[in-house]
Amino acid sequence: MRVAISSTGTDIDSIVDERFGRARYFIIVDTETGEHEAIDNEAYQLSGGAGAKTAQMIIEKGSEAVISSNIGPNAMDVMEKAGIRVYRAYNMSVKEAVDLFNKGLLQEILQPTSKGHHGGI
Amino acid sequence: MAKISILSGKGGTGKTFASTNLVRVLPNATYIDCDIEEPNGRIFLNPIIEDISDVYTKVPLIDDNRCERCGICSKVCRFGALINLGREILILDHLCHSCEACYEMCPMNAITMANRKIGEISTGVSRGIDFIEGRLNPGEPSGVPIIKQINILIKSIELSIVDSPPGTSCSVVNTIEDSDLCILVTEPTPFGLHDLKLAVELVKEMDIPMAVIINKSGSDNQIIYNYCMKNDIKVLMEIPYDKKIAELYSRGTLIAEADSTYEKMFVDLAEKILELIENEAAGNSEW
Amino acid sequence: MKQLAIVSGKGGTGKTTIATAISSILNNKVMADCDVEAADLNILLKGKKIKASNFKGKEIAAIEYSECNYCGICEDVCRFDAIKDIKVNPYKCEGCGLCTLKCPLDAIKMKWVETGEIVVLEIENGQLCEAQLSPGADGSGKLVTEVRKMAISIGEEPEWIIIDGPPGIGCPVIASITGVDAVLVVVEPTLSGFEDMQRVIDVIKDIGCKIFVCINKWDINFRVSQNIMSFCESRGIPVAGKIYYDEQVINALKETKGISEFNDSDAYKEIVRMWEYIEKHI
Ligand code: SF4
Ligand code: SF4
Ligand code: SF4
Ligand code: SF4
Repeated sequence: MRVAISSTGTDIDSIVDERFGRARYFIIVDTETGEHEAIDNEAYQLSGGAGAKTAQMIIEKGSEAVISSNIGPNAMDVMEKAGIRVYRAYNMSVKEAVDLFNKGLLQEILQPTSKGHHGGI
Repeated sequence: MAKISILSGKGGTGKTFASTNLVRVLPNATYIDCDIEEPNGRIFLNPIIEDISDVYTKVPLIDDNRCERCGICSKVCRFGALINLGREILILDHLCHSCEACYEMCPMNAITMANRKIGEISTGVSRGIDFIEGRLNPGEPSGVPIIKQINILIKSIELSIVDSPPGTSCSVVNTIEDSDLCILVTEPTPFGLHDLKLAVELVKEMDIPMAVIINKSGSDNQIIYNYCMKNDIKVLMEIPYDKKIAELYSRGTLIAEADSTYEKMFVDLAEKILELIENEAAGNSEW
Repeated sequence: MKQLAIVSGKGGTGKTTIATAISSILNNKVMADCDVEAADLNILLKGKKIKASNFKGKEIAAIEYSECNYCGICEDVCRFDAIKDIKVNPYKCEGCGLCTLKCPLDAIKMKWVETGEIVVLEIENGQLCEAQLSPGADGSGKLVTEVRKMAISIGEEPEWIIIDGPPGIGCPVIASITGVDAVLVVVEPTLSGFEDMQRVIDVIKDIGCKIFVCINKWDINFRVSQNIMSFCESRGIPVAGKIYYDEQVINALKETKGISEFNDSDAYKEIVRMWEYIEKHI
C-alpha cells in the first residue's frame, strides 16, 4: 500500500509535519517494499486552498492512506470522497509513524481536527 | 452625490458611534453599514427593515453528461476549489473566488456558473434616516461581493455615511473606493496613533481626501495633533472621554438624540464635513 | 508546550492589556501577535527586533510588455476588472491566472509579491513574533499561520505560546485559533459586545477546543454582564475572569506601560487570578 506522510524534511528520519496543507514535503512509502520517495508540496505556500491542492497531489500520486496530525475540513472532504484514509501521528519520525501504521497502532482521523478557510493550518 | 466613509485602523475606536450620531444630525443622509462581519449600526438606529435581498457569488456547476473528467478545470483553478477524483470533479464552494477560469477553459463546455448565497443586504428606515446594512454569513471567506453590491446602491444615493470594516484589509479597500472623504476615528494613545498611521497610509495610497476625529479625547491629544499637522490632516472633532457616552452606548441609545450638547457637537461636525466636500468638489482643495 | 489564543468579537475590548499582563506572568513563553492588520503588542512589550523576514503572500499577474501586442484580451477576460489600459492593478488582481491562460502571446506570468513582514523581538523572559501586512493587502490568514509557525520555531521549548488574535470572525481568526489548546474570549458588557461574543463563540465551537470567557469592565453594565454570565452557563463555558472598570488601566496605557507595572491595581490582580484558573482548568 502507498502511504503519504506529511514531513518536515526529505528523508525517512525527518519529523512528521503537524500540518497537512502547509507541510513542506510529503514522503510516499510503499509499505510492502519499504521503498520511499520525497515530494515537494508546492501547495504549501498558497494563500488559500492549500489543503485541497495538497489533497489533489496525494490523489495523483496514487496514495491509499495519509499520515499527518491536523487536517482541515476541505482536505478531509476530499480524502473522504476519494476513499483515502487519514491517520494521526505527531512528535515522531516518518519512519516511526510508518512502523506504527504497519502494526495498526495509529488512530484514524474521521473528523477534521482543524478548521480553516484561507490559510488554516 | 457624496460618499463619506468612516474608518479606523482597528475596531472599537468609536467608528459606529461617530457614524450613527453623524447620520442622525445630517439631513437627507443614508447610513450604510459595510462592517459586514460585525454590522452593529442597527443596534443604535433601530431601523424598520423593509427589504432583505440575498447576495450571491458565482460557483461552477458541472454537467456530468458533458464532462469527460479531463481534469483541466482542476488544474487551472489556482484556489484548490476543484478536485479531480478521477471518477468525478469535486467542487469546494468555500474556496472558489468566482474567477471563472474553469468555465473559460473547459474544453467540453460542461461548466456553467451558478449562484451561491454568502450574505444579505437589508434596507429600511430609522426615523427618517435611510438605512442599508450588509451582513456576511459566518465562516464565509470574503465579503467583498456584498460591498461591491452596496457600492452600486451608493451610486444613486444623495449622501452616504459609510461605516467601514475595521483594519486595512481588502474589504476596506473596496468599501472606501470612490469616497469623497474618509474620516478616520482614532484614540489619543500610542495604540490609536499606531493604527491611525496604517489607515492613513492606505487612504493616501488610494488618493482620497481625509480628516480625523479624536475619540476619548483628553490630555494626550497632542500626539494625534502632532502627527496630523505633520501630514496635513485636519482634526474635525474631539469626543470627550465621558462615562455617559459609555452608558448610553451600552444601552444602544444615540447620544445626539439624548443630549443637546452632544447634538450640537455633531451638528458642527456635519457642517465641517459638508464644507470640506464642497471645497473638494469646487477644486480648491487644501489637502 | 501549550497554546492559548485570546480573541474577541471586535477590537478595543482590552485584549492587548490582558495579553501583555499574561505575558508578564509567564516565565518562558512566546507571544504571537496575530492581529496582523494592526499589530500592537509591542507598543507595550517594547521588544528589541532580532530578526525579520519578508512575507510573500500573494501571486499577481505581471505583463511582459516586450512580448505583448496590446490586443486587450487579458483586460476583457479578467472578472475582477484588475487590468486597465493593459496595466495590472495589484490591489484588484486576485491572482486567478485566467489572463495568463488566455493571452495569445504568452506575455503574462504570475509573480509572488511581498505583502508583509514577519518580525521577531526579544522581550522579557521570551520572544514576541509579529507581522505587518502592507495596507490593503490580503491573505492575512496565511500570514497568521506564518506568524504562528515562527512563534513555534523561535523559542527554546517555551511552556506557553500566547496568541493575540485578530478581531472579527473571518479567516484570520480561524487561522489563529486552529489547533490551540484553549481560547480566551474577552468581552465588554455592551449589547453589541455581547452579540459579537456570541458570534465568535459559534466559530470556536466548530473547532472544538476549550473556551474561557473574560468579562472586561464588568461593572459598566450589570444587566448585560448578568446576561453574558447566564449565556455562558447555558453553554457550559466557564467565566474565568471578571475585571472591574479600573482607571489604572487607562493610566498605564497613557504611559505606554503594561498593567503589570501597576501590580497592586485591581485589574492586574484579577488577571493574575484568572490566569491561575485557566492554568488549572485548561
Ligand atoms: S474541464 Fe470540463 S470536461 Fe474537463 S473535467 Fe473539468 S468540467 Fe469536466
Ligand atoms: S471559478 Fe475560479 S476559483 Fe471558482 S472553481 Fe472555477 S477556477 Fe476555481
Ligand atoms: S492578452 Fe497578452 S498580448 Fe494581449 S494585451 Fe494582454 S498581455 Fe498583451
Ligand atoms: S490573474 Fe486573474 S485577477 Fe489577476 S489580472 Fe489576471 S485575470 Fe485578472
